[in-house]
Amino acid sequence: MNIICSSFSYPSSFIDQQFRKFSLEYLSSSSFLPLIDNEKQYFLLHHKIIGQPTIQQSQVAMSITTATGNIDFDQLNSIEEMESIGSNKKSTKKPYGNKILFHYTHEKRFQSFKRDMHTIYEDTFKNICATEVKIMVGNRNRPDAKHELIRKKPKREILQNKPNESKYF
Amino acid sequence: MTWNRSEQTLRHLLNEANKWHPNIKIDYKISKTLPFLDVLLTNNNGILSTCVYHKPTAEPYVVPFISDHSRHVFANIIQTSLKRAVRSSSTFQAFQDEQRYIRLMLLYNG
Repeated sequence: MNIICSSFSYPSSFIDQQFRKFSLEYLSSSSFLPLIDNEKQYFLLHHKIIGQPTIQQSQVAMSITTATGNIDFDQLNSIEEMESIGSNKKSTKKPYGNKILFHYTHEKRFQSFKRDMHTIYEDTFKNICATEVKIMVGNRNRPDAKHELIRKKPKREILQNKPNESKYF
Repeated sequence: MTWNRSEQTLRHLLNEANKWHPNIKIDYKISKTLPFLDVLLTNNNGILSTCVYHKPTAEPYVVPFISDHSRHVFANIIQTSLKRAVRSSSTFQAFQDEQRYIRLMLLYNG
C-alpha cells in the first residue's frame, strides 16, 4: 500500500506523538512502552474512560443547573401556557407551602397582567378545592432593558428628565 | 432489542404495534449487526460486541493539517477520536481496528 502524502494529511510523527500522549494520559506510566498493546491494558483504559461523563452529558448538567431558577420566558407570553406551568409548579414547589409563584418578564403592554392572572386563576380553580393555595405573580426586568440601562451607558436623551416644554405658554 | 423466538413472531408483534397509534410508526431492521447512533452492535452467536459505526456515505475527512486553525485543534481531533474509539469498542480487536482507521484517515486526509 502506498500512501499518498498530500499537504492536507497529518504528518505521521505528529500522529504517533498524539497516540502516545493519549495512552500516557490514561495508563499508569509503569509500562515501558507507552502504547496500548494488550487486552488487559485496554480493558483498564476502557473502564476508566467509560466512567467519565461525555462532553454532552456535562453540558446538559451545566444547563440544568443554570436553568432551574429561570422559567422559560418565551412561554410566558400566552396565558394558557402560564396555566399549564402553574399546575406544574403546584406539584413541584414544596418549600413555598401553599403558594404558587409566577415570574414573567415585564413589558409595558403587560400592565394588567398581574390582575389578569389572579382572575384567571380564581375562575379556573374556583370549583376545585384548591382555595387555600395562594397565587403570587412576580415580575422581572427584561434582560435587554436591564443591559441597556445598567451595563451600557445609555444615550443622553434617554437619561434626561425632560420638562414638558411650552405646554402652557 | 434482542429476541429469542422466531423472526416471524417478532415481525408480527411489530406490525401489530404499528397499528396502535396513527402518529407513532415503528421502523425496524433485523440482522446480526445493527448500527445504533454512533455504535455498531454485533451479535456473534450470543456474544454482543460494539465498535464505532462509520456511515457508508460519510467520507473519513477532518480539518486539513495546513489549515489556519489554532494548533491545539489538530491535537484535539486525534485525542477525541481515540477517546471515542475506546468508548465505543468493547473488544481490544475492535479498538485496534479503529486505531488503524483513525491513522489512515489522518494520513489519507484530503
